[in-house]
Amino acid sequence: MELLSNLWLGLQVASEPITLLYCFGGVLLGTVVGVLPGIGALAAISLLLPLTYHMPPTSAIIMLAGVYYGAQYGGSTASILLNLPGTPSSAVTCLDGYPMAKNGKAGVALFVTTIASLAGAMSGLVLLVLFSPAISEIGLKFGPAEFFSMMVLGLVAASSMSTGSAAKGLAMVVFGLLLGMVGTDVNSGVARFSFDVPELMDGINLIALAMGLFGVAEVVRCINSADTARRPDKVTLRSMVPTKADFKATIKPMARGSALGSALGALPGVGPSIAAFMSYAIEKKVAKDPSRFGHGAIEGITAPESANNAAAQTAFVPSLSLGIPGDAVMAVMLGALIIHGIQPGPMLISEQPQLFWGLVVSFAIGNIMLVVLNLPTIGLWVALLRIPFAWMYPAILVFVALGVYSVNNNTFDIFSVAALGIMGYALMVLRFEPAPLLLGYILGPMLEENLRRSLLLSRGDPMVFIDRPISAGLLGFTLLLLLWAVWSTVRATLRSKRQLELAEQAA
Amino acid sequence: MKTTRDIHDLVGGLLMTAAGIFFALYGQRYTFGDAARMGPGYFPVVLGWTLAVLGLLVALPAWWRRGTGITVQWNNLLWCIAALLAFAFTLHPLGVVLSSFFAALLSLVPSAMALRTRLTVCAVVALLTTLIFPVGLQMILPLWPWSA
Repeated sequence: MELLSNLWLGLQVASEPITLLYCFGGVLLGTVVGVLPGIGALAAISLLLPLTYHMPPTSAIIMLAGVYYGAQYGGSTASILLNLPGTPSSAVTCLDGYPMAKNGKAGVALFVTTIASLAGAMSGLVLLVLFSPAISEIGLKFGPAEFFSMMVLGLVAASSMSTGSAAKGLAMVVFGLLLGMVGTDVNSGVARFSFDVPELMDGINLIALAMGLFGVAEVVRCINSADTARRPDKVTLRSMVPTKADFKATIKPMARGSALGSALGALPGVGPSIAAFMSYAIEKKVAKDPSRFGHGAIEGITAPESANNAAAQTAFVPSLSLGIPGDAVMAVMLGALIIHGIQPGPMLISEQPQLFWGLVVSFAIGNIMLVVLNLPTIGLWVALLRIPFAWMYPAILVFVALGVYSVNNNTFDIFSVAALGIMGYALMVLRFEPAPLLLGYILGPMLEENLRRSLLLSRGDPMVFIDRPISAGLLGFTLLLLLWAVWSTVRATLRSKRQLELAEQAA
Repeated sequence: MKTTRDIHDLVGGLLMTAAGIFFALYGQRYTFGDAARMGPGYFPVVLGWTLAVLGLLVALPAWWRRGTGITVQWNNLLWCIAALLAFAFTLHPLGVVLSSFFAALLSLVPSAMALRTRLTVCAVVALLTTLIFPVGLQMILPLWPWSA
């Protein structure tokens, strides 16, 4: 019954009018940035971050979280109507959503993805409520060795399971860790890699890095794609009603997607994108007729949409119960908590019950708001997609500049965002994923701190990571992931080498 | 048709190796320490060498792989960065209104648009920026050149 009284506490926090307003603002903005290709949840959250300084921490987190899961709803709209993913996690939805729209079933597709999103989010939420307190109990017994192993697992999972090659993902993580080293070392007070620039002694600005990688780079890439953008057709409410057969075909994929997404999202390092990709692959495996996929199979949009929303909710499990962010967005969110003077970690749930339970209840409220926001007003979102990108991106750039400036009231941060934007664009051109880099950057100082502390306690003996069972288990799992990554890389390389030889023979 | 190697990974991997070697060598100036008492140099140097090796692992297989050439939208990149820099330089001397108008104008150079729409968009950007940041959020910023 403790659970009920906790939820009651959460309901009291979340149903205050001002909190409801922030929650609504968050999910509304989330839907907008989700619908619009070229600006994602991460960019929006980093832009809002400086603005939350003057808000109570619970409202701030509720609003930022609303942007995050709201974007998961909005993301599918552009995928279905324009074949352009609004967010990375809805890229899979393009595969079958756009063919459905071409077959004149855009309305049905939009309707079932919204329902699938709700089902996914709610099942993720149940998992979050049931397991977070238990996991944080375990987390209280964690020493530095366990935290170190857990973070290593998260980083390796984030990089080796990303869509590109594992070596590239790992390189991004390590590069991110190195960028996290910039600034004053807490143990010795030495300013590392600051090149005698006073502003760099505090490290690279998190918001400048996030905006450079995800804001500026995306804008640069999207400017020209906007000139050729197709204009979506109008969607009427009547066209959204699914037939009985459509409805029946969505139930099972929805359940599978929700279960898979909830389970995967709770692992550190596995975010909504990976959950969506994996659930699409599974649907293709279990389908009686896999050839329908890619030509408008309704399972191909419901399962991934349930999975990415479920994962977006359970991604909060490691973040809130252990203080270890599961993906880049969570990392920024934990950064927001730290700014508000709340230390994330296993103590969070017991020390800040009104924050944790208020947030959880606000998820339920926010998801219901999102369904109401997405279904009757779909015409509005379609209209939003008709606005040319060229009308919007100058505003995005100016907001980015002023947003980073507002963190420290220092123009140096605008220069950093320009430099990091060039770096982000270079990475994009070279097809490196920026998300593992950001995760590495955030975890870098924590990782180093825990490594130092555990080796100090063991007098330099690395066996400490293997002697402790939880730590050994986590590292063992990491090793499996690495081996799998190496094996699949070798296999892919051999295959592409044969293709190259064939092509050169033919030439 | 000419077959090209996977240039993306080749260049990217070598750049990562270069970055790793830079961090590893530059980190030499900080105390290294030992495993029990790590100095500030320990972690960055180890990570730097790791990155160098990973970069090679990215670059080497790319040599045996087919790929496409790299396309860089230099024009877009140039003008977006120019807009950011211009904003940073003109924010204090010119104030928010003119500075955001000017930055928006620069960023619009690479897109095809009629002059009137172009100026309207910039004016709207200046108006929105002023309404959101100095007015709505009460950030302390000069609005006009003479209010600094």
